[in-house]
Amino acid sequence: MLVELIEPNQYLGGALQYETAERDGSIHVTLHGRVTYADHPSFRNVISQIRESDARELVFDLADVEFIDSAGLGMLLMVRDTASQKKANIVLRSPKGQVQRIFSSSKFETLFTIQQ
Amino acid sequence: MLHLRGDGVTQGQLAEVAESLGIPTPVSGYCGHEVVIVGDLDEGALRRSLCRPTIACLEWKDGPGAVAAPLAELERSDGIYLSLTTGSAFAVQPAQAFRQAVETRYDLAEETSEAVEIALNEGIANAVIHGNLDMGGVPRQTADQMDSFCSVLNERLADPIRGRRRVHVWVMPAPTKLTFRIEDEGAGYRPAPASSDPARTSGRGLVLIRSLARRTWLEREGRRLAMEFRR
Repeated sequence: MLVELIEPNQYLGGALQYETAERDGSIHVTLHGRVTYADHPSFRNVISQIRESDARELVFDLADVEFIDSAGLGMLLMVRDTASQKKANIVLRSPKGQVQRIFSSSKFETLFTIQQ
Repeated sequence: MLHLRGDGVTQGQLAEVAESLGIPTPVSGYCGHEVVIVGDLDEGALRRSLCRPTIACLEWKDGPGAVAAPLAELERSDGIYLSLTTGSAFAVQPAQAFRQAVETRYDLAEETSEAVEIALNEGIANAVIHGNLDMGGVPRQTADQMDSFCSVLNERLADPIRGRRRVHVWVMPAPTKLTFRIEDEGAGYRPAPASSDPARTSGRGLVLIRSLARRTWLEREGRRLAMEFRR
């Protein structure tokens, strides 16, 4: 079920779009497009939703993300910290292309469960 | 010889730029290098304006702003220069369009082109966040801190002085290398010592740039980042 599709504010440029769905104790977050320094305000909403939830697992579907920068990596790490406080597992699913390469160079496999 | 072209600006505004930069408006049939003045800078206008024969694209916002790059050298070497406000740099995120212009014009390999886009994006983010918006002292390590970071960010983007400071991006090609420069109008940037902790939530942008470029250095007391890539 589509729960939320963010409306870009005047500074977002509409780059990041996401949907969240909560079911069976899991939150599934599907990100689209580019995840960059301009997406802090959007990501804040994702983190708020996670903090308010009792989910035991967070799954980020990244198959449709074409580009992520260092700020985007930082935002995923913030999600990881939030999940850790709530004792929830976090999974990054289906990174492709540039996203997969930057995860590898940033040693993300040591910090997250990454599923292809 | 350079000439001016307008995209979303009035003839009066174009004439004003022609006088301030000393560049004539186009002569019929002339097809040399162009300086494009863009009124409403969105992604489409940016992509159109960075194509050959453009060597410079200047966003019009109460004028074209001061030009940071040497136009004569850009014209001689077929370089590309972009000047836009901080607000537009944040909204449009020009790294992808600049990468595509560079890739097409200089026939770059996919791997180099991707590295250029990542490095440009990081450099522009630093120019916007740390340079023009002076957000370096506002922490964003935790979810709570990110709430206040976002509030301050929106305040500063709306600030008429900070939000209208410019970001300048340009590339000078040479036979075996491309040299990119990104300049802001902030107080100057002094990078913190790099951490090797993979779990750190910020401070990895310059590390990433250095891992991708053949050489990087700072100019103008940290307001300008230079990055060299092999062609």
